[in-house]
Amino acid sequence: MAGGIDLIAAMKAGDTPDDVIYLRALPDWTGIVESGDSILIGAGVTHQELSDSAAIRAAHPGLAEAWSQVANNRIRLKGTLAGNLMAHNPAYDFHIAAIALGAEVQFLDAHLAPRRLPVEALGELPDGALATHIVLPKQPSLAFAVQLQWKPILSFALSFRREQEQVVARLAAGCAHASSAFSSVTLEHGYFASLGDATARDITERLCAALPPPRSDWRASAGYRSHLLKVLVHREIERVRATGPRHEG
Amino acid sequence: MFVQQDRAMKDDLSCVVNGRARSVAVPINRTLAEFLRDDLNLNGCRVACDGAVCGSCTVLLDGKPVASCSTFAFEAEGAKIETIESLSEGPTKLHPIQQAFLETNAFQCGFCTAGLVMSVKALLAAHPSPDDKTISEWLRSSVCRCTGYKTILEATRLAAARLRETA
Amino acid sequence: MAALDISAGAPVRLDGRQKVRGAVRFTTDFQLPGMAHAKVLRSPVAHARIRSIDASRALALSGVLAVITGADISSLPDPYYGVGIRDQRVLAIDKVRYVGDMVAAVIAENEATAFLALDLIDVDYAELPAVMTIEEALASEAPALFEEPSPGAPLLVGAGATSIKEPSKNVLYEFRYARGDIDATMRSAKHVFTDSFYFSRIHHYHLEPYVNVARADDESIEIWSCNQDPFILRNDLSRMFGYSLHNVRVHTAMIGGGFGAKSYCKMEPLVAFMARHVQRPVRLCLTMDEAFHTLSKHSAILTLTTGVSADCRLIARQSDIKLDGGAYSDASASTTIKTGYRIPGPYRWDAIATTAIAVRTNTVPGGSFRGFGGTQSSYASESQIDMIARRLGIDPLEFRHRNMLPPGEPYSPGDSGFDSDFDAGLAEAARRIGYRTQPKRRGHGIGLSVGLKDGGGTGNQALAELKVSDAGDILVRAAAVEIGQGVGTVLGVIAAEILDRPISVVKYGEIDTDHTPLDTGTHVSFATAVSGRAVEQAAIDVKTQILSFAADRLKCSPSDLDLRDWTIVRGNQAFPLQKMLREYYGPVGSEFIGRGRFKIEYDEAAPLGSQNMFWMPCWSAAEVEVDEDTGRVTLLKLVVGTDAGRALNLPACHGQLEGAALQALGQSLFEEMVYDGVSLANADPLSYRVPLATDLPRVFESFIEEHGMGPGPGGLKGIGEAGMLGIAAAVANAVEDAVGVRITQLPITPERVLAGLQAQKQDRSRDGSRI
Repeated sequence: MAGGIDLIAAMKAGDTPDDVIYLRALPDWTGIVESGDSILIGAGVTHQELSDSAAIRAAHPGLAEAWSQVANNRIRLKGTLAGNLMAHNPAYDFHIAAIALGAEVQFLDAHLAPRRLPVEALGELPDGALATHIVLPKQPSLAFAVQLQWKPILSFALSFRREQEQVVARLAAGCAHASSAFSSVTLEHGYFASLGDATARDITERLCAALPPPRSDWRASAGYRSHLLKVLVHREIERVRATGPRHEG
Repeated sequence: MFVQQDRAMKDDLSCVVNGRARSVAVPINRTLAEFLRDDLNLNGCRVACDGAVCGSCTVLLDGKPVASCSTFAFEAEGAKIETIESLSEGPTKLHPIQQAFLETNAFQCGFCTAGLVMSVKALLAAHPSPDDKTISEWLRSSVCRCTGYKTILEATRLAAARLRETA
Repeated sequence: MAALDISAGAPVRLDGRQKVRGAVRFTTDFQLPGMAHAKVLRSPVAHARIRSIDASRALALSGVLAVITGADISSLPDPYYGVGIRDQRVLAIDKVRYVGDMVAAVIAENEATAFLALDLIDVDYAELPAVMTIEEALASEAPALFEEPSPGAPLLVGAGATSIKEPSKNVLYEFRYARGDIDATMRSAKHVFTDSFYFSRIHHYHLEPYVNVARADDESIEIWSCNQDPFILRNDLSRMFGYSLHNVRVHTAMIGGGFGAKSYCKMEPLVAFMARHVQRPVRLCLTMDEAFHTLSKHSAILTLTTGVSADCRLIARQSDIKLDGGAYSDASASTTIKTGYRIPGPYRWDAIATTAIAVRTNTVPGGSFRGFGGTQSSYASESQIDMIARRLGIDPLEFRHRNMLPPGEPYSPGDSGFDSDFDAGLAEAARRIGYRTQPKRRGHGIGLSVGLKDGGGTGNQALAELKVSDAGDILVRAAAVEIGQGVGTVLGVIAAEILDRPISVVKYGEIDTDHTPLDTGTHVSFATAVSGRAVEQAAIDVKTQILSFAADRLKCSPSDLDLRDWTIVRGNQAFPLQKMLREYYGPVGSEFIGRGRFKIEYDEAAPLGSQNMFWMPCWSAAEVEVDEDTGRVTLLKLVVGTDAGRALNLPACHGQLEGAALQALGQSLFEEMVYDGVSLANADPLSYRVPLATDLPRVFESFIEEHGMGPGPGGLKGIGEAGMLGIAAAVANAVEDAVGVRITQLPITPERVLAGLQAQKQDRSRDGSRI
């Protein structure tokens, strides 16, 4: 266990684990370290530590800002990012930010060999995998936004990132879907710099169309969620237009 | 906790609670709330939702607010725990935060009050001059079903001002 | 009546210091030596016969003391409870009727063992089809929840009303009220409007769990309970166990939130039974998830047909109300009466005809919830009033003003007159929201409403006792439970004022039915007015005794004397009272005991069987902005006001009003208990959304009027429920004002608003294409 929040909830529901390994004592557990063109975030790093980190504020200010308000103050201070990811709960928040930023999870497999998987492929984690780090690219995004104000109807993170010579828009949707939903759209070079109204709508349509359909449940219908997602994604892109990308393309 | 504790292994837990060093043998699956309430008779820590949502059971662990209902007692090993009982020496010697809550009527049934006061203490330690937005966002972590929150916001502002004066 | 004059500043609440220090001993903190712990097994199915229960595996678990089932509790002289109609058994006997119904209970050495043992009880259910909605329950082919009539009787009502127990299949109760000639009046109307409204189910979400500790033997019970009606509980336990009243003792500590959830029997008889069975004290503490499965607020479908005259007078209203009572009666009968009786709102009518029923469904029982029928009725009535005004092209404020019942006029023939100026209060709310002071623009709207309920309850009574020491310290003994409303302080102020003592010398006594005088429960906001009158009498009684004593000592007439600052004053002579008392009584001194009693008389000429003691307005005004792309409604400003008659503790009044208004705002916009099939979808603290600090409207204002016409000391009356009443309609009215979309179903979600906007667009394009 790390922050232990999900473990205790499970135990109160009747789970009786025979052994609990308290991971806090491990070295390299906490700490955010820059390494080459990546930022390595230890699996024990809390939400608050992410938000307060100088390295994160420099590279991903939108993430640091959004993460100062995530969940509630108790979870921010105690819950770990890895714990948040490994709960595989679409209502939890970190996976959408991580996917939008092109993050990976570094883990030890059953043979204790270190491997990496993109966060959007977390469903493919082998049994017995132990997450040790979250790997964020050090390169800042051209734009990044997290929308958590509409939970539990929907949540998402949106980024525009330079990948090689192209600009890629990434949309990761959270609680409107039963499991991580992710889409990306590659934009031609220079496209982003000339982001007009028509292109904003076009990007919105393409990003949303590439997602699987949202679910209908007691919180909202699939139809409403689809509509709302488009409206909110479009508004974020409009905001990016208005404020300009972080670095000229 | 709904896991048999009489059969669980016991371990010595050493921590400082409200300024006093304690060492108690507790089952390893005990929650911090159970430790405080049942082992130390500190009943100011109220268990309401028992699911880390409402904040009624908030205590400070090394200055950080934690949901004691969803924290293992062993996580307090070597740590400093502060509960509501640490804030006042008696009914007439209230901590400025408690005094502010009293004066602004920032309570009704009182069940959430202890957890809220501790949460406010942590807020004001980190942000001695919080603006309304910061206070509101911080208080979002605690549920109060009685007051409608306005008086709690006022109490927090008042306490912040008083603590700044005496600092 | 003594004028109540509060010195500068509101009194510090008597319970304040304890509460801010976390020093209150709630019932959750209470323990007895040798206490055993219980857990309840609940039905996983919505409707089934119980074929068999095999608890042998559970009993074999080390630490388990006993398992109780319906077969055991059937041995009670009367294993049924409910208000008026008693259809709920201590444990399910032959059938279960909702997911969560209590089936068996385990008593063990500790809670964890009891919890584990639940999984070891094997129950064989023969499932039956379930009815999950009012419509399903009333369908001709619907299965019956109850095959036999239940014990109990319909509640008594008076002139113009009828009260029928179990009139038909899956209908628990029916209330009817009529006056005037509805058919003729409706026929004479210039306009007739029929609209239906859907009121949602929410949960009380009291933070303190349901918790009881009991010890019992074969002739007595002693229970420490979170129940807010100690004497009603005592009465029920006495009846159910066949024990004399004085052999049942109820202790009630301060309660950590009730909102009606802790009124009337819930699991107290079960705890007492378990304690008797194992011959040890037993504690049962429910989780919040279990609380969701114990009680809820009644959802309802209300169909109102309203007739309006040519000169825009409201003249006739025919109402068809169906409440979802859930699987068991609880307080459904009285809620049905109150919803039905309040549906006319604070207006003058020539004719009224109302039918209100409580329908039985395989869902969590509906019961008391702050506002109690007044919320359902106000939402429907105040929505329709606004809709009618707009359809007729009249300003909604003006329309209400034209039809409002003035102070003094009886609410209905045989009932008491209005004791608030409803019109003035609404004008104040309108002024504060800035009604019609800004140019109208699309997407921005203001809505008003006047919520209504009667207060004080039907035929309620309270006794009170004061024990006053020779030093002038006052102990108030009354059964009004402190549930957050500050009742001890208010009653203390009443006593202190009469005896000219500062509030700092007053203590509110612990409630113990052996020592505390009786009342009829902490609900319907009656504590301030009814208990207040009893305390007032008790204080006058003490003062009379004091002056009589002093007159004896001073060889004069009591009318020559006055009591000020704990000194006997005779002309310009002053005699310290404690000294006089100690001289006479000796070094231990003595005390004065004063008594008071107040009862609302039954009156069969009044429609509800007694005149309503007072009337509770909720003047609400909402200013909203509607985002037409998402349907989201943002509260720019919310104003809520009520009349306290005379406010003894103004900050406490504001607190109660604001707290209730925020609860109501949550229900208006997002809070709801949702059924997904036969189970609740969000019956846990993580999924069930309640208002948080960030849900406050940008500007949130409360106002307390003091019209001075209430029945309590100094003209005061209760306001604890007021804030719940008018909010939902005010928000719905504001949304219609903003974008012309009428939402007749709670909660007013963004999805519903968007659907309304899309329908509106379609209507407009259809209309446009016809041209």
